[in-house]
Amino acid sequence: MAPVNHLVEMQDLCIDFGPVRAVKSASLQIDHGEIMGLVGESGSGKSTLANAIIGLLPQAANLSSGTLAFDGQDLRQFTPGQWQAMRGRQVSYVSQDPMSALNPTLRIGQQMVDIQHWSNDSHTAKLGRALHALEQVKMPSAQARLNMYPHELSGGQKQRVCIAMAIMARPKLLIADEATTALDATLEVQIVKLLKELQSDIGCAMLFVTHHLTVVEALCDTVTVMYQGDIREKGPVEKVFSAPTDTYTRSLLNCDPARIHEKCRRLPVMSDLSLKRPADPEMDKKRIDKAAGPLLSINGLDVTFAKPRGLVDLIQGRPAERIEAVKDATLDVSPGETVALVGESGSGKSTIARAVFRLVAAEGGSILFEDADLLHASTGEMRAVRNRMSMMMQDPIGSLSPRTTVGAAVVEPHIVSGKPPEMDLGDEAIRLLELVGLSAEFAHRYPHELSGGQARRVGVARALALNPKFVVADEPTAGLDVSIQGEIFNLLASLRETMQLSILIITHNLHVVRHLADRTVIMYHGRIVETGDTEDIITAPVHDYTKLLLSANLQARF
Amino acid sequence: MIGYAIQRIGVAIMIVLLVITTLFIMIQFVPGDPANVMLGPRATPELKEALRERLHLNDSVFVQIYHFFIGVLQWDLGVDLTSNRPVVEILAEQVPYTAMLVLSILLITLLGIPIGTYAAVHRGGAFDQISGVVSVSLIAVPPIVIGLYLILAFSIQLKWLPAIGAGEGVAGTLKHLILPTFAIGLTWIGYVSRLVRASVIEVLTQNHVKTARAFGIPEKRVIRRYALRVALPATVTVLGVSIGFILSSAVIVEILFARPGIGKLAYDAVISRNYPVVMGTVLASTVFIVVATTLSDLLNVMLDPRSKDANA
Amino acid sequence: MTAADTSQRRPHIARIGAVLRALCFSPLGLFSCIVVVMFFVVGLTADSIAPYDPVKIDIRNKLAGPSWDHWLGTDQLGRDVFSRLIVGTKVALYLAITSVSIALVIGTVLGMIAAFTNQWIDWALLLIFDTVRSFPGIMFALTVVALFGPSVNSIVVIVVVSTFPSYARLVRTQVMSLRNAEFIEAQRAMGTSLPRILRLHILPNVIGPVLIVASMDVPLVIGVETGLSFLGLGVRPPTPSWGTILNDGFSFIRNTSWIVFAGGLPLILTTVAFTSLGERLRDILDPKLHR
Repeated sequence: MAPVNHLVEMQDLCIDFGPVRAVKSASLQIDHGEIMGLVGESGSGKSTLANAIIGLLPQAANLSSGTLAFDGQDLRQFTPGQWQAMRGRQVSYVSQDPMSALNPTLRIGQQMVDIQHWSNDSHTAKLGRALHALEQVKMPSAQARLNMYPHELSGGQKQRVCIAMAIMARPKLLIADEATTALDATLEVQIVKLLKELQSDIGCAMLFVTHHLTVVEALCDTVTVMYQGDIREKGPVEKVFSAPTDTYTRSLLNCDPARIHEKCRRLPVMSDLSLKRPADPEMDKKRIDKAAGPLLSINGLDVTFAKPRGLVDLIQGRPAERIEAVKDATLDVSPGETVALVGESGSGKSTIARAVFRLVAAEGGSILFEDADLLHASTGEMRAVRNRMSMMMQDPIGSLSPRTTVGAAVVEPHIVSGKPPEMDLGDEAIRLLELVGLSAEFAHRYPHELSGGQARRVGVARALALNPKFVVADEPTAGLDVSIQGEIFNLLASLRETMQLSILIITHNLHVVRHLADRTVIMYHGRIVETGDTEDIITAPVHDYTKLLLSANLQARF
Repeated sequence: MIGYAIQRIGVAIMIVLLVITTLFIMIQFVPGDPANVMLGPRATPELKEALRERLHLNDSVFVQIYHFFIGVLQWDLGVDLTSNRPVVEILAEQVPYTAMLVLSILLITLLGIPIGTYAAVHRGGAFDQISGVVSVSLIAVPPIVIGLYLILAFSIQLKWLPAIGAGEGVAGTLKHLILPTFAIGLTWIGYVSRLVRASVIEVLTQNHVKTARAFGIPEKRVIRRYALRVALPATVTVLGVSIGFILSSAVIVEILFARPGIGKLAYDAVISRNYPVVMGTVLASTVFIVVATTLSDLLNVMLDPRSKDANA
Repeated sequence: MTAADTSQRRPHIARIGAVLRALCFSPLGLFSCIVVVMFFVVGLTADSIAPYDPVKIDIRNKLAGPSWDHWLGTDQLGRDVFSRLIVGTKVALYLAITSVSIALVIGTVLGMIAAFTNQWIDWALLLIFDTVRSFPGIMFALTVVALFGPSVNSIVVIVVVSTFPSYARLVRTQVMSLRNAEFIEAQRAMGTSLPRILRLHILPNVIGPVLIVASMDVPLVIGVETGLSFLGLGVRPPTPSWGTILNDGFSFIRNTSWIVFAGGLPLILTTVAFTSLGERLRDILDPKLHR
């Protein structure tokens, strides 16, 4: 029997998925009122551990040994009835993806009433409690939301509903499984603030599962670090963050681009912390050739999207409704320069890149690349231009054709542009793979056999196949673990030096931007609100939105 | 919602027009003079001319179609060439038999819902595996073969149930409905149970079901309220889309069981080139199918709040 | 990554091999494979393996039960039912191959056109698909027979017209969801031509589901043949087909139920095998099941 003084008491817990051990004899305690951060990279077993406490592991999972107790009760002996009685009332759960966490076919109010199945109160009383909870999470016009369906709410609002549901029964423990990962930085700040306030109101303990170290530092009392199913280190946040004892923890803390405050030319990586090199302003200046005039010049670009029309609209000849995606955007990229286009989801930043490659049609303005007018070039002229510029899509694996081998994928640009007859495509594939640090054997693999980092390298190799002058990199580090982000960063930084590349980085991640970009362009709601040298923007932002974005991303004042 | 309904009804009317037009055009290609075929070789030229006049056979196809639809608006589908009775009257006599059969098929098809749900919830268990094999077999085998085996077993060998006719009185009618209903219905029970199983399994892996479980909502309620609410629209859609297949099988099975109904009517009409009756049966069955499909579409929109924004 | 090692040289062949192995691993999958292979073998060699001439009349021996000479007995004209069933496989195989492949090609092409051209053409094609779907199949079949007369080719026309919309709709939805996939965008950004994108990057991802539907359509073809021949509107006697054999048997069902019973068996075996083959393939190929 576990001692009663800890809320959660876990001793040597092992969790297996068939032959794979996902959690290896983990021990941890959570006290009443404690906020614990559970940190680790993808596949570290952190979500498995958190799900075990609320009994929501997939059926294939098996608690093979160890003890797990909540508030003195042995969870391994729980019957389905006991789980039902506990969930939602004593322990509640906020899931990773707010977009899919709510039942699409039921109104918000109905769902919030449903989860009060433990109460004998009238429907009206339950609705009243739901309304109160929505007000607690500062939902704007809470009364009206009760009658809405989930698809009528934004992502941030949905996450607020999930949190309201989680606090309604005043639980003893709130588990937040990557609850802010899917949200933009400015929203993340709001939600973390809210969680902190609610936690101190209710006095519950909280288990905050995340890979985001900055959030842990700002929010949590204690932190537990997991790596490949092992708990590597645990302790008070200040102690672990200032003086980590475990080598993995130390590497993780040192490699996180968000925690490296001086500008760097190379970032440290997990396997080699000594790679870190400070920025060299002289080298940066030499690299950029301002005198030659801009390589890419976008002027007053407007892009609007047409909503799809129904048959009735088509017959009536009604023009399609249009949504403004980009309005009056102007930006330049000089030879050798790296420019970052920063904005949150829906700001129109990717649309600009897509307009450059004519994946979307522009309504107005101009795009000049060297001497070519990209908005009016013929298909043939465009083909010549495409040999000198290329694009890396956002999703590393999803941007590779699933039934094409890596070797065939990286040389595709050669085939499309008409390869020189003397070229051997097999040798060329190996040259390109080696350029991005992959061995020749990767040529025979399929995209689904690659890790995120490897697939990203393949994407880089394909983008560089034709020796372009200009590359667009859409979220080059998104979806990658902190340890891989540094490697991809270093790859881009070194290729930029050896190949005299101009790069347009599209991202919401300011940490990477500050190390890599010479200039930064901030976008908000389809408009460019601020442009300037990266250092200037970070130290002295002018526009209000830039300030908000910076404080959410870099200073992390919660 | 209303805009969507109007659009759907518009499409439905267009489909009926297209089907009838296609049929008229196809009939143009049938070799031989229709009047000759219909009245037989011994008819006098005057009689033939009168018939051509009455059926507008001397005019172009489009005039014929125009007259046909004018007739439809006046509840007039012409006259049966053999019995000289109005086609509307004959249809009114025969349609109830077919409608009753289709309805009872749809009713027993609902059995697939509990079977599929149970199999999904106890996925991989004995019931799931056995019902899986049985369902797949039932889906595969054509209704006519199932019907033949049912007759062999229950009428010829066991002599429990009648194999011929439609019966009289409530008890007789029901007794005569059983074999034809199962001959077609077994296929659709299998189909619906597989479909419900697949959609319930998919729903149960979705994040919002995890949320419901994380709040301790009892498992039975999760399945009833959360999983079935998403699985039912899928069933409705498939039945709506498949009503044409069900009706087609019903026609063949009616003939197999020598039941009165649209099937027998259409078969005899086609064999004897009794065009007014052919037109009438095609129109009736097309309208029936289009109404069923449209209703299932609209029902789905009502069941799923998200699809209001979607189109096509 | 052992999968990568074994697929070093010919990845596609290794992949097909892996699918076949997964297929034969389950008893039901193995059963379907064997029956499907047998269907093809018997259908192709029918004339040489049938023990008797399927149309040879022997009135003295009519409606005989199963015996050493006639494994499945004889029909009302004394013809050997077993031989008739074997030769009937020929018709079924011919119908399955021609009508399914024609419908598949027409449907795939139209589905791609609907997904990749402007909204007007898309709407028009959708309307045609819906119309065909709403045209009561049996009425269409009866009309075609009235038009062309009963024959094997009439059945092909009937099956093609009534099944191509399901391929077209499937391909259209699949292509539409692929059209906005990042790997297609990446191709467009590279300047790859539309035919090349369709051929190399869209078709390979669409063909799997289409083949599964094709496998599950074979029972439908066989069902249409049986139904029409049963009504006397399909394959013309004396050519043996599974439907005509059932029709003959049904006429004498009160004398001997043996012919109907035996005549239904190959039909049931084949249709069940093709359907469960399709189901198994879908399970194996569905990426959602590989976590």
